[in-house]
Amino acid sequence: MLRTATLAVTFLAGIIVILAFFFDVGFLATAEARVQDWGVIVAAFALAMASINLVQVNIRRISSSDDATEKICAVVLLAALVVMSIIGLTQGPTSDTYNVLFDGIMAPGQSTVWALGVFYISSAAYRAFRVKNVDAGLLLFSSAFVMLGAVPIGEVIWSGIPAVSQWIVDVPNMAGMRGMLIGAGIGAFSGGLRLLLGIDRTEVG
Amino acid sequence: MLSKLGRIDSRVLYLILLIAFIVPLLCPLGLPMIISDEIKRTYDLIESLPEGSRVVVSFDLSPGGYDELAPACAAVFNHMAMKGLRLIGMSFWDAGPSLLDRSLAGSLYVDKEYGDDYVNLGFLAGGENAMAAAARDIRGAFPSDFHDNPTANMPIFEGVQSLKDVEMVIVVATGNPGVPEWIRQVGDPMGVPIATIVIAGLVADYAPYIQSKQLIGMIPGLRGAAGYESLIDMLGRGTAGLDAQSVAHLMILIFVLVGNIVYFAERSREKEESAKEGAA
Repeated sequence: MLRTATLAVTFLAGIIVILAFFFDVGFLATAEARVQDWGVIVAAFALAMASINLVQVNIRRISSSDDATEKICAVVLLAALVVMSIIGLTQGPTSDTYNVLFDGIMAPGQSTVWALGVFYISSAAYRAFRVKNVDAGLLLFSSAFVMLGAVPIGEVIWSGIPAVSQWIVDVPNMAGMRGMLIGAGIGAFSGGLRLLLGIDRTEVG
Repeated sequence: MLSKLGRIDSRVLYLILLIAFIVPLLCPLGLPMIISDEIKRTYDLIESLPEGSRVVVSFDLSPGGYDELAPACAAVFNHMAMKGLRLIGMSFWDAGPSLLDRSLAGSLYVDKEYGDDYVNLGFLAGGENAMAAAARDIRGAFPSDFHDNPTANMPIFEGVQSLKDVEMVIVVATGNPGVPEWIRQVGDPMGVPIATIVIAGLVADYAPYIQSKQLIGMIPGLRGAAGYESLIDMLGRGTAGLDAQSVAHLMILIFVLVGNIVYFAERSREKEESAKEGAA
């Protein structure tokens, strides 16, 4: 019963949005607006569910893991979640305390992790980016031109680098990206159709 | 010598790269500026909007990518403020509103009137679906702003029902939901011009949208920031950082080159040794 009801709601929500896109009819537009509003509400609930799931997973990790580092990480994560949630809920996300934690811990922490990527990339490039065959050679030369073309020093080295770089982005890259976009579009259409018609039932278990 | 280079400690590479970043920041090289067509088109579009036009800025990014995009945001926001454009900020990424507040505080909008000249509407959960809801009825989707002020009577929204009523959308993006979703929900169906301020890593991904003119302009990371700062004649962090980025790109390519020299030298040595063993 629950499975049938879920499939019916999925079908109805999907078909309303599709019909409203193709036909400019008053009641369909109103129905589409309601479905979109419900979608926003469901997404907000999903965030709450994700938080509960995060707490469950990390409590399990604290109680059952043998690895001390993993336990410490789980405790820190839960403490951060609880502190940020309490401050966010009681004082709001624009309060001074929240801003101190966001600007002083969360933002610099994420920026640091993001910035560290360039160091790992440089080490990986030194050790692994080898011209072992023609494909690897093509990849290396095209990436070298694009990297140098993206910054002014490329033009200083050779005035033709920006033009070659732009050609790589505009022609071979564009062809590949368009193929991927079209493929992804067809895949999304097929996946959506399977979901609407109840062929793909993974979301109802 | 070459075998030593092959076994070089990663920390040495990190140190060389760190020096390559720091030296140009302390002693700028004064490399020539690149102003691509995509940057110029964004500038031209903003320049062509009449005073009082409303521009939606969607801050769809994480704190990790913010540092790369902050100089470009400052340059574009300063240009918009100088032109007297009104900025409607929103976000579909949870950290976006706090970062937008920070970005606005560092721009010329800080001297403008909140609620009339600019507003930060905050975060709306639901990704592309939330974008569609905001596009259809902006005040319905955001009944209050990030600072808990009701949006119903804000002067900035006079005459604005849906996003059809704004003149331009700028998506500041580090991933999805971001540019493709905005094009699908607003750019294509509503005919609103969209430009983006984007991390350098996404430039190749969004190039097809530029060629199809679904994206009017694109400001890629520090390079875009430096170009835009030069266009508005307000040099800032983008220009300062571009030399460092240039040297870092060159250094990574030198690493790849040296790595390959070591690889081929070692391979040649191994071949010689196996040939000698075979002969013996």
